[in-house]
Amino acid sequence: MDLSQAKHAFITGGASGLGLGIADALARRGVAVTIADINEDSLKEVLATRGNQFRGVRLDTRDRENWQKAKAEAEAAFGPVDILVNNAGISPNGREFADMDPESFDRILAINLVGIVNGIFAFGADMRERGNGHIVNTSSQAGLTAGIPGVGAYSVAKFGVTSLSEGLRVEMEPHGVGVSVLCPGYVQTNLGANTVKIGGDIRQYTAAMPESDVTPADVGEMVAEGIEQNAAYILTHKDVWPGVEKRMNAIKAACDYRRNA
Amino acid sequence: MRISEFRHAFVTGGASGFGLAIANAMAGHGVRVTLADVDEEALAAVQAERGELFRTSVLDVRDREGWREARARAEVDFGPVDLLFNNAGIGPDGSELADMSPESFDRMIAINLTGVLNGVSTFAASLRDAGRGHIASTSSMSGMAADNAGLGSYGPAKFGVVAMMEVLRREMEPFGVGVSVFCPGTTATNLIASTRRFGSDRFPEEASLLDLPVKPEQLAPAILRGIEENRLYIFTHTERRAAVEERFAGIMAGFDAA
Ligand SMILES: NC(=O)c1ccc[n+]([C@@H]2O[C@H](COP(=O)([O-])OP(=O)(O)OC[C@H]3O[C@@H](n4cnc5c(N)ncnc54)[C@H](O)[C@@H]3O)[C@@H](O)[C@H]2O)c1
Ligand SMILES: NC(=O)c1ccc[n+]([C@@H]2O[C@H](COP(=O)([O-])OP(=O)(O)OC[C@H]3O[C@@H](n4cnc5c(N)ncnc54)[C@H](O)[C@@H]3O)[C@@H](O)[C@H]2O)c1
Repeated sequence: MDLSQAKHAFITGGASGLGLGIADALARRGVAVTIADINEDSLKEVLATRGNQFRGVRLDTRDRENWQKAKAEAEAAFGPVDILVNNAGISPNGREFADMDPESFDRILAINLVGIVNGIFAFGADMRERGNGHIVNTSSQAGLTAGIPGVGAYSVAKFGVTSLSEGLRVEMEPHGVGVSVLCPGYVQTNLGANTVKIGGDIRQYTAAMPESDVTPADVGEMVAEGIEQNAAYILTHKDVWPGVEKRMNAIKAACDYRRNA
Repeated sequence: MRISEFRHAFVTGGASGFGLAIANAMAGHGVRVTLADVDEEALAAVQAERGELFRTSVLDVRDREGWREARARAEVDFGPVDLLFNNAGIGPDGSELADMSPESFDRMIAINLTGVLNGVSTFAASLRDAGRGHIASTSSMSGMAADNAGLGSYGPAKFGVVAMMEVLRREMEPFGVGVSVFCPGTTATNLIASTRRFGSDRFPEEASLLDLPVKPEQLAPAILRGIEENRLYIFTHTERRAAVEERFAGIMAGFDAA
């Protein structure tokens, strides 16, 4: 999508971290931005330091009725949304499946997977009808490879987001709507603290976030470029590839094992 | 673990298709099998015909309390479960994501994905304590590459099952419990009829899979061997390999731009 033609982006989880990085990158390119977030304090803080190209709306992405209200409010101010960034999410819970409270699994799935499809339910049909638009869904490196104990529920949700985005891209392509899935590696953000704030169950994990020299601002630039090019996958860390390649080879070997059987 | 060493298998979606084929094959090795299914009539029919081999249990895999009860009943009859096969599921109904009713998305996730988690929650800790056993789940080749329109929520659910089994495998490995994910392609089962009855408000086409040349019974030996050899991925439809490769090529291209 040609960003110089884009007018309005709606970004969930836009008040912090990657979402804010993406908002700033799009705003720099002249796009008006609605940042939608569950955290009102962060929304206020961000809006206080941004110009009138920014608006904020409180939204819990799990709440389908609220999506309709947020959409109406946003479009009344800035016109039809042509870029949707489904980015709000919470962190892994650090629990192994055998010990996991099923409600903790439900919460991660509700926010990290269903919260994203809720955005598609709210905006997908409109974009398709207009024959124009772009949707970015935030998955993770954990949506490409899985196998870290304690990151199971998160990986399940993120694999879901990756697949959802791949399927949606096929469905939307004939209608001129682009779809990208963002699969970042580790980036320093407030993910751990924000997860606790919304009642997420979280163990051992935040402390374990490794250092990274990729910043949310860098990710914002990568996403803007990815939208311009309608990239299927927006990937931020080259060092994620060896893990993906290893998994690919294991899958190919398992296919060949069967074929030779 | 050799199949004949398993004592009690608990198979969901066991009244039909893959579940029943797997159960029959396990029983052929002398394993006692509990068939759990939401379809009471189909269970009764199996029970009437082959009651000496199986116990049946009416269970909706979405019902967490139901899981606890089904497990307790099954273990009274046949002792501790050492093989859990999470297989129950519904098929896609052809809706595209932008047109899908949110309830339909939720139902697919609840049955095909959270239903699997519910099985894991019910049995994984005990298997770990016992230090032996196996957990297998049915995903699909759509859990490897979901590259056609109209799969809607089926792809996310099946990708999720694959991820769950990949992580669970690492978590259970140190305790001697095996984990596999079975990823079939299209096979002659009652999936469309079951989906129409239990899984969709949009009624998929009247078509049936039952005329397809590949029957679930033919695939059961490969599935059992995958369990026996504790293979993470159990594939039976390798013609989808090309689609999987194409998907990885797309991801690799993304890394070139990173
Ligand atoms: N930081 C990383 O290393 C990393 C890596 C891969 C993927 N991700 C993903 O990136 C996305 C953004 O996370 P981040 O790292 O920028 O963290 P962050 O906490 O800084 O930002 C996430 C924002 O989402 C909001 N949010 C959470 N739940 C919400 C809900 N239900 N409704 C509306 N808003 C909600 C939070 O309030 C917060 O402002 C998440 O989906 C996360 O899983 C992050
Ligand atoms: N047949 C195929 O082509 C194909 C391909 C890939 C994957 N699969 C998967 O194989 C698995 C088994 O399906 P099948 O093809 O044997 O179809 P099937 O309809 O013959 O068997 C599925 C069984 O699951 C039961 N079931 C459905 N919802 C349930 C619920 N909520 N709780 C308990 N039981 C429930 C049904 O009553 C049915 O007996 C499914 O997970 C399906 O997604 C099938």
